Amino acid sequence: MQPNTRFKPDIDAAYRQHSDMLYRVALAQLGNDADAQDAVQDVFIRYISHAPAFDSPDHEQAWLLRTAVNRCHDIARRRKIREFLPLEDALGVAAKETDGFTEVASLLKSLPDKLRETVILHHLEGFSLEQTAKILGIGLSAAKMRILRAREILKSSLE
Amino acid sequence: MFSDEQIRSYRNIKAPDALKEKVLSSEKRRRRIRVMPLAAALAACLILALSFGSFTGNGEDVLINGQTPNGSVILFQSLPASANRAAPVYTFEIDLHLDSPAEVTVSSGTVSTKKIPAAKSIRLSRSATVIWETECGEDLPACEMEIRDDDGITVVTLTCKNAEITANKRRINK
Repeated sequence: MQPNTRFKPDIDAAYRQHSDMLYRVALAQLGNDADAQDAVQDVFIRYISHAPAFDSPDHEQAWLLRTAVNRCHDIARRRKIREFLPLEDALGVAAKETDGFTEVASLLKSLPDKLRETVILHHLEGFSLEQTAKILGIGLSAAKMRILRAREILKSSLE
Repeated sequence: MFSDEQIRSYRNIKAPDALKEKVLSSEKRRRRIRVMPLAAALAACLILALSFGSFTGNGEDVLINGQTPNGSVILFQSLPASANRAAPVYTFEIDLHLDSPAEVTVSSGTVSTKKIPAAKSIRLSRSATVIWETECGEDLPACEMEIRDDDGITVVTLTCKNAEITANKRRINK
């Protein structure tokens, strides 16, 4: 049996390893750069203040993602903003680099929050359904239902 | 659901450089705020010592950042304001001494513990330290926390005026 290797939070390492992913998830969930930056900043503030000693790198990643999803909920609820700004305006990136994400953002916009976050983690970040369910704190069947429902909505919006 | 190119475009997105600076400066600011001036620390201890006599066993005792919510100005930690925040976000550590399980609900922001993730409302089975993160500003309504137990409700109210935050507590018994 492996010895218990709990480790304390290290913000520099955590930022290096996870900031891009957290920013992407927040951007896809909230639709604009400023809100996404606020969400990620809040996540790391909470990481400094309240993060537990983690059992594993996966545990740390799941904790960060769940915190990011929760912060996105709070920000969206407070702002009630659903504008998706042109990505190149928000990031200053060449248009051809962002066409793919602009299409993605357009599709995500049509989904309710809970379906959107599930789709982001499973289809865009590449987590398995089991991992996605664990991160979101839901059952596996609930995660599957959300993906199915998201597919139905996206299919009907494309028709 | 998405093409390979769309997924690739998504995964190529990087966090802006400015964000790292914001995160690290937030950490530095938090470290500075934790180091209270000696006079303020002594004042907080004095308030704490005097306030033990005022606990009447109404169901819960409440301390906010180590202070009794009796109209006194509360020392706080804050997240920096940004272009998108209507008001700064403040963090308060609330020590709740409970005689029975209680439901803690906030009118604004979220509340959490080490083990319970942030939410508008959480259930506590015993005494705990909760973290309340909320916007608070003169243009915003006062923030309230309701602690509902078997015997009644305790309401903690935070009010921001002239850049100071004061806290008050009232008890409504069943």
